[in-house]
Amino acid sequence: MTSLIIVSVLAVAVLYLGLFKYKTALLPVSVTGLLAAAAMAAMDWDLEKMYFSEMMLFDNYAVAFSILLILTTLLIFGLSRNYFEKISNNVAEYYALMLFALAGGVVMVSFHNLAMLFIGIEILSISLYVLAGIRRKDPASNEASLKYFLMGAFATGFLLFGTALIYGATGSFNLAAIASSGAFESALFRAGVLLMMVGLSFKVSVAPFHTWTPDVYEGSPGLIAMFMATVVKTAGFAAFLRLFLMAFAEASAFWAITVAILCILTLFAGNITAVFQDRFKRLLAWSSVSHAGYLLLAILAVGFSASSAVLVYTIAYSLASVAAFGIMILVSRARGNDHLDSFNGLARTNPFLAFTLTLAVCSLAGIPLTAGFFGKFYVFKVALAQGYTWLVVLAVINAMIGIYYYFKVIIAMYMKENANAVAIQLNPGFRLVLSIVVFLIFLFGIFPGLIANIL
Amino acid sequence: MTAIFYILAGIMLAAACYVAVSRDIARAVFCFFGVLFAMAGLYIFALADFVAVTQILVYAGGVVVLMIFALMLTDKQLLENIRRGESSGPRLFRARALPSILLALAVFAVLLQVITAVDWGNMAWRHEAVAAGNRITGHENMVENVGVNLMTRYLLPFEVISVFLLAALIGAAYLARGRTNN
Amino acid sequence: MLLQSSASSYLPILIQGIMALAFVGITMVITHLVGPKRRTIDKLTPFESGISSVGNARSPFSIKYFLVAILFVLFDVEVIFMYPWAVNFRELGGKGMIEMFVFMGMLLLGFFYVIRKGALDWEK
Repeated sequence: MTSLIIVSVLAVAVLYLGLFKYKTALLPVSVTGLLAAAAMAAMDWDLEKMYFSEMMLFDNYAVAFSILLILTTLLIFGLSRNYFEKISNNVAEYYALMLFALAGGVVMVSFHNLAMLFIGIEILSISLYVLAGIRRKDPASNEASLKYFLMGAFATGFLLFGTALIYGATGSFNLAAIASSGAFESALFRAGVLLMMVGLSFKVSVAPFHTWTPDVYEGSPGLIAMFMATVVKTAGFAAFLRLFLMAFAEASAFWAITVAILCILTLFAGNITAVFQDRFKRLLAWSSVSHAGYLLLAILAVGFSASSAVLVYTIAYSLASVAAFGIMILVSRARGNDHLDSFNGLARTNPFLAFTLTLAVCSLAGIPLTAGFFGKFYVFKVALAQGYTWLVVLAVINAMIGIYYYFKVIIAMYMKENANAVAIQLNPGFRLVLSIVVFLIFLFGIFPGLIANIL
Repeated sequence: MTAIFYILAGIMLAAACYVAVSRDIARAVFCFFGVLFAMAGLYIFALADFVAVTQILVYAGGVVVLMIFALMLTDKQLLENIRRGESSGPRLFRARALPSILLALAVFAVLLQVITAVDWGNMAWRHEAVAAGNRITGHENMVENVGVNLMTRYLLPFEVISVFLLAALIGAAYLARGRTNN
Repeated sequence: MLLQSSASSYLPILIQGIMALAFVGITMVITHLVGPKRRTIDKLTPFESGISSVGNARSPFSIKYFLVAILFVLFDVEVIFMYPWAVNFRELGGKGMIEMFVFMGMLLLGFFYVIRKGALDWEK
C-alpha cells in the first residue's frame, strides 16, 4: 500500500519538477522514489495485509509482482537518459505517465475487489494510450495511440460488462465472497467469466484479440514498446491469474477449455506470423503475442505452483525484453531502421551488444542456461501436472518455431557482414542496465531456485 | 409507468440502430445524444438516480459536446471523400462489416442465453439480502446511500480515481495542445 | 422534505419535458401555418449578416476549443464525485472532509499543471 502511495506521489512530484524546469533532477528523483517504493513493498512480505475494507490484499503474490514491476520500470528508466530528450521537450510527462501506469500496475497485482481491478487497468491503459502517441508529429505514433485507445476502450466495455454480470450472480465485488458464493453454475456467472476473459485477453494481447499489438508496438517509441512488453504484460497476466486463482478457481472446469483454445490460437498466431517478419520491432511484437500463449498455459493450472511459474516466466521475459528492445533502439538509432539487415556485422563492431542480444533472444527462445529456459520449464511443468500433455506438446512445437525466428537475428549479427558498419556508442546508463540484465539472465538461468521458490 | 419504460427503451433502441447504420457522422452524434438521454430515463426506472444524474451531466452534457467539437475540428471534405469511397455495395451489409456483425450477434446470443436461463427471482444472495433487511424499497434517497458508501467502504477506489483523473488530465493536456507551442 | 425517489417522482420532470417539446413543436407548426409566405430568391438564400454567404458552414476551427472541452469533461466528472459527498456533508464530518480534500488536491494539482503549461492561454 505504501509503495502505491509512493509511486502515485512520485508521479506528481516528477511532473512538477518538469514544470519548474528541474530537468536534471527528474531521473535521480524517480530512481530514488522507485527504490523506496520497492523497499516499502518488500516490508509487506508475509504480512498478508488487507487495506480499506478488503479493497487490496498485499499477500506475497502482490508483493513479489509489485517489486518485479517497480524494478523493471527502474531498468527502463536507466535506459531513458537522453532518450526522451531527443523526441520532445516535455520529458517530465513521459516519466510521470510511466509512473502513473506503474501505479495502475501495482493496483492490478494487489486488488482484492473487482472495482480495484477495473480502476487499476484503467489507470494503466489511459497512461499508455497517451504514451503510445507521445510523438505527436509522427503519424505512426498517432495511429498507434488511436488504435490502442479504440481497442482498449472496447475491451474495457467487455471487462466492465463481465464485472457487472459477476456482481449480479454473486452479489459482491470481493474476490473471497465471489469464490465462496457457490453461484458457479448460474448462466449469469458463466457469461460474466467469459466476458471478463475477453476483456483481459485484449489487454494482454491474447489471440484472437491481439490484432492491435504489432501496430501499436511499431508505432510507439521504442522505450514505450519496451514498457508495454514488460511492465504492462506482467501486470496484465498477474491480474489475470490473480482473478482466476482467487475468484474463479472453483469454476475452472467451465473456463479451462476456453483458455486452452485461446492458448493454442495465441501460440500459433504469434509464432507463425513472427517467422515472416523482417523488422526486429515487429518480430518482437509478435513474439510478445506468442509469450502470452505460454503464460496462458500457467493460468490453466490454477494453484500456487501456477503463480510461481508465472512469476519466473515474467521475470525471465521482462529481463530478455529489456535487453532486446534496448539494443533494437540503439541499432535503429545508429543505422536508421530496425530491419534485420541492420543487425549485420554487429558482432564485429559491438561484440558486447551482439553478445547481450544473443543472450536475450536465447532467453526468449528458452535455450538452457538462460532464465527463459526455466520460465518455459516451470510453465510446462505445471501444465503437465494438470494433465495438459497435448497442449504442452503443441507449446513445445511452437517453442521450436520460436528458436527458428529468434536465430535469424543471431545469424545476421554473427554470420553476415556489413562493410560500412561503424561501432555504436553506448552511454553509461545503457551499459549499466545491459550488464545487469546479462548478469541476471545468467544468474537465474543457472540458479533458478533463487526465483522459483519465492512464492 | 410500464408504458413510459417501453417508450424510453424504444427511443433508445431506434436511436442506437440509427447510430450503428448511419453514414452521416453528424446525425449519428445527435442520435447518440438521444440514446444517452433515454438511457438516463431507464436508470431512473432502475432506482439509480445518481447514475441518471451522472449520465445527463457527464455524457449528455460533456461527452456529446466533446464529440460535436471533434466533428467540427474535422474537414468536411475529407469525410465526404471517405464516404464516397465507401458508397459502393449495399447499404447495410458490407463484407467489411461482417466481423462486427458476427461479434454483435455472438454477444447477443450470450446475453439472450443469460436472460432466458437465469432464475432471476431465486438467486442465493437476493434471499440473504432480503432476510437481512438489506433491500431498497424505492423510498430511500439513493444519492445519500451512494455518498456514504463512496466515502467509507469504497474510499480507496474513490481516492485512486483521483490519480486516474489526474493521469487523464495530463494526457489530454499533452495530446490536445496546439502544435505551435511544443 | 420529500425524500423518496421512485420513478414516479420523476413524473413532473417528464411532464415538463413533454410540455417543452410540445411548445417547440406547436410553435413551429403554427408559425408555418399562420405566417405569410413570400418565396423570392433573395428570401430563400441563407442569411449571413446581410452579405452573401461564403464557404462551408463546417470549416475546421481551432483545437483550443477542443482542449477546453476535454478539460470540461474531466472536471465535470470530478464534480459528479463531489455531489454524493455534499449530500452527506454533515454525517461524514471532518473525516469525509479530509478524504474529499485529498481527492480535490490531486485534481487541483492537475489543474495547476494545466494552467502553468499555458494550455488555457488563449492568445498563445
